[in-house]
Amino acid sequence: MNTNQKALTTGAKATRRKEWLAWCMILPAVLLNVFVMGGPIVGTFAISLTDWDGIRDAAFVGTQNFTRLLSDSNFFSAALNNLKWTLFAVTLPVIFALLIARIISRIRRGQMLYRTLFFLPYIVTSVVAAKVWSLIFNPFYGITNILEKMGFENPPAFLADSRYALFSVAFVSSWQSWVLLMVLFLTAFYQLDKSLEEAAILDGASPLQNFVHVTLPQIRPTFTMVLILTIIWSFTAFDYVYLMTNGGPGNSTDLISTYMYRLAMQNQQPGYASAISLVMVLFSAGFMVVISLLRKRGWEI
Amino acid sequence: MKKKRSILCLLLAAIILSTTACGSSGGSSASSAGNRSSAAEPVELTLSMGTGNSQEYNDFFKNGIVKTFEDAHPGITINLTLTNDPTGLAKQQLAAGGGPDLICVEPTTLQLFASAGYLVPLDSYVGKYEWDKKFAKWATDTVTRDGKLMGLPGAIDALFVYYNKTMFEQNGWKVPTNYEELTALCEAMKSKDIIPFAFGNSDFKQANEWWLSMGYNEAMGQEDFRKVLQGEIPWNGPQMKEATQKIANMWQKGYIYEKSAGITGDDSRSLFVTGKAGMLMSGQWDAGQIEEASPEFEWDVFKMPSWNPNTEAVLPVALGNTFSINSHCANPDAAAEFLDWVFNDNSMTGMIKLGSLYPTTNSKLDSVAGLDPHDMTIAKMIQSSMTNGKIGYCAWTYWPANADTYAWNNLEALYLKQISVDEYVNNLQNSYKMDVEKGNVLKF
Repeated sequence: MNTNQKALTTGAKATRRKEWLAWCMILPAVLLNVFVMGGPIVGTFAISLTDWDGIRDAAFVGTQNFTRLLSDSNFFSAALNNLKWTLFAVTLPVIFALLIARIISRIRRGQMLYRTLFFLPYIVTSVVAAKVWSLIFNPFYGITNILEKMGFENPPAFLADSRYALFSVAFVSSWQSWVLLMVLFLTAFYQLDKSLEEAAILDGASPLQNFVHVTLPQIRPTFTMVLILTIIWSFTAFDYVYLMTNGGPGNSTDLISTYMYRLAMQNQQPGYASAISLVMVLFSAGFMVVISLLRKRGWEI
Repeated sequence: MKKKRSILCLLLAAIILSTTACGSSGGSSASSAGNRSSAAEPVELTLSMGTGNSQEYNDFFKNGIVKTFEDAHPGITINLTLTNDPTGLAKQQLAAGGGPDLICVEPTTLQLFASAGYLVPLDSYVGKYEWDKKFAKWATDTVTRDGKLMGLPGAIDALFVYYNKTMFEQNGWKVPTNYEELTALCEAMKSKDIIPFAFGNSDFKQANEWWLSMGYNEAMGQEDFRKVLQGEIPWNGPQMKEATQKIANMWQKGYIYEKSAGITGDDSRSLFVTGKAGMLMSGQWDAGQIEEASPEFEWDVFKMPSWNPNTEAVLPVALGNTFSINSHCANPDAAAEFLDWVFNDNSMTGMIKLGSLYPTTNSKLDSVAGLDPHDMTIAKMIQSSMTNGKIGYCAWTYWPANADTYAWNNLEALYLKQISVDEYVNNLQNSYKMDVEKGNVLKF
């Protein structure tokens, strides 16, 4: 073996050692994911093919649970509620977070104070927030009562009215999570190229034109990420519905997650609930496929 | 450099080994209860109960029952734990081969556990402790499966109506004796901006079972509703449709508080004790809280009248809980000894004083002095119904699991006309068929 070949062999060995070391470094995380996530995923798939009630022995039923899902009106009602929740979550909270972040980014004095104040809802636990907002929405001593005393006729009963309950709960959930979106937008605003804005001003652009045509295009990757996160979070929404309305009135606030939970924990149908959870995984996987296709087309996500 | 890499790899290996070595100690708590050898060896039994009872009840159970048992049985220790969801916890633990030695769950769950082989049949102890003479048959029927006694019945739940007696007297209203009088009373209350029936279930959707139990029992009558539960009359037959419509009418006409989905059970009691609502349809579990609230009016209770002109009124009853023995219990004899102690004369007297009536022959109201007049009225109403056999069948004891959960889960959708009566009863029938296939139907 000549000198060059020896050098190549030595280099290849060094590379393999580095790779081996890198794999050792990430091995704990991989094992954690395999046992904590992989195991239950495989288990969920197995259970979805049975009629297990959580207590007695399970019997294999094949795809019966999945075919049952196709005619389950409660599931489709919950899926529609999830869609409404998503539409709400990607509009008002995102716009609000964007505007507040823009305003805060322009403040010279007291910026930290405003950031801290706006961040406070995020550190409140969801249980406490849900209970407090349930009291605020209480038809007897909450907002409804105050509006009645102010002279408003038939003010909305919020949580007790099937027309408003879902958006009331979604509002509370967004109240707590929008601040994270604000932080993401704020970070994006700090990274803006100021020279472009100054050039636009010199060219006679109004503040609104500047914001729409110069600022927003620059934060497009952040904007897209915020939308993706919001959509994913909306599919995992559970706690506020469970704590505030339990899916009621009727099924007006029932989401796929709460329906699935009720099937598994109260209705003794974890087999069917597992089938629903796999369908949710398919939704999420489909969404990620769309994102990946868009990235291939050059979208900065 | 080589040494550093070796050290790093060794550290990683140590981390991996330590994380994989960590695991639950597992095993049933029953397995730590000791072996099955002689009574001289100390025995520890575990008992898990819910936190839903009052503090006085919990204190009495700990001191008046558990401690007195331990004092009388040296060597046997009862490890009592109170948990928020004993049923949910027991399901997981029993499925994993563990769980407490003594299990306290509602009757429908006991039936499921019994069918899965998780419980010890108690027939061999019946003769020794004379349980066949101690418990009412209607109660032991609910804890019997395939002819075997699988548990002992716990406290009786009963549904009736609390009413504002002062309000009734001031307005010249009388306790209704039939469905027409009931609806007329509700209309009269509505005309005065008084909520007829306070109700709130935003924190406990399963409370819908109360109105389902009351409505179906009173609208169908005792015998016909028993036949429905036994599958002799279909859930989607004309009688059941009519009964379902009557239940829906109670909410749709504003007799049951229309914003019930937006308030909690506590709020509904507040509506009653502050005089905003004239009546509260609930169970004996609310009597203590109403007494504690000390409303500024006189209140009393009445049995809901029949909603059917051809049948008599019944008192819907259930068992709030049951007691059974885990099949993995290492010392079932000691567990059975404790179960018998739970139902001795002193225990039953103490329970009555706390407002809990048990379906036992030694629950003697006359032997209890100083009982609150309201509690005495309620207890007498329950005992009278048990004696004359005019009892109804509450959902959380007598209804099969799938039909029950479909019914209370979708009652509000029925109220809101998100589903029709036909769809509701058809789905009830389908749910019942699933219960029949799975062997969930209680035979009584």
